[in-house]
Amino acid sequence: MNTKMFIFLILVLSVIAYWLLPKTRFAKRLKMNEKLFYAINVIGILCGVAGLAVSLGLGEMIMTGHYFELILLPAVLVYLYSAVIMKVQGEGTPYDEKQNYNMTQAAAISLPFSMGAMFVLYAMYKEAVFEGLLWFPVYVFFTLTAYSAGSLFYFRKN
Amino acid sequence: MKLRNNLRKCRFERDEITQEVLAKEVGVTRQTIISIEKSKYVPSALLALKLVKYFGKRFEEVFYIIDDVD
Repeated sequence: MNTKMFIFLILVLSVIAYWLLPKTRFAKRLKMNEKLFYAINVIGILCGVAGLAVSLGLGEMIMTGHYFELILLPAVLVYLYSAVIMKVQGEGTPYDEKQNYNMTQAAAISLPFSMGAMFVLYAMYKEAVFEGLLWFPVYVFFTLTAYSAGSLFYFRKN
Repeated sequence: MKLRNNLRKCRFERDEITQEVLAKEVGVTRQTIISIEKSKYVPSALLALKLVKYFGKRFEEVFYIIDDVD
């Protein structure tokens, strides 16, 4: 099975799980807690850092070889899992109010960081250090790292 | 002005319940209770009222305001 098919299959199964899980007896067990919040953000950081390293190491091959989707997949799946919890709870958000507050703080801090990253990328393209589509995975993984690290940092700090 | 609280004292007066138990009772994480007790996080009106109701006290007995000291 090639990478494209594998990713497609996982995503289709995840969407099916999103619709079916809330209707099963496992629904009662689906709850957001502190450990899951840590796990979501740690996975976000790991995927982000791994993605940045592979982007800089392999260059544009990260896109052509579909490593981009593969590395991003765990983060997508944990966010989908929290969407399932949100569906089961039937509320606007599965997180508690402080987690929501900390995620807002992280979003506010990752905005200027990601803008800074874009300026650096622009300069690198201008100097022909980077070429082609590499800006896209670098930007996505940088933002994911900044946001996840920010959420975790504020949750622990405050 | 800053919001302070007697949450820790209230917990001990109420059979020394843990932060974890209190968090479960009011539907938040333990980290949220820790932050409120340290006055690092200001709870929403809803959460503050839930806490007050849980301890069966008046609002001013649990939460109070202090002036900033220069």
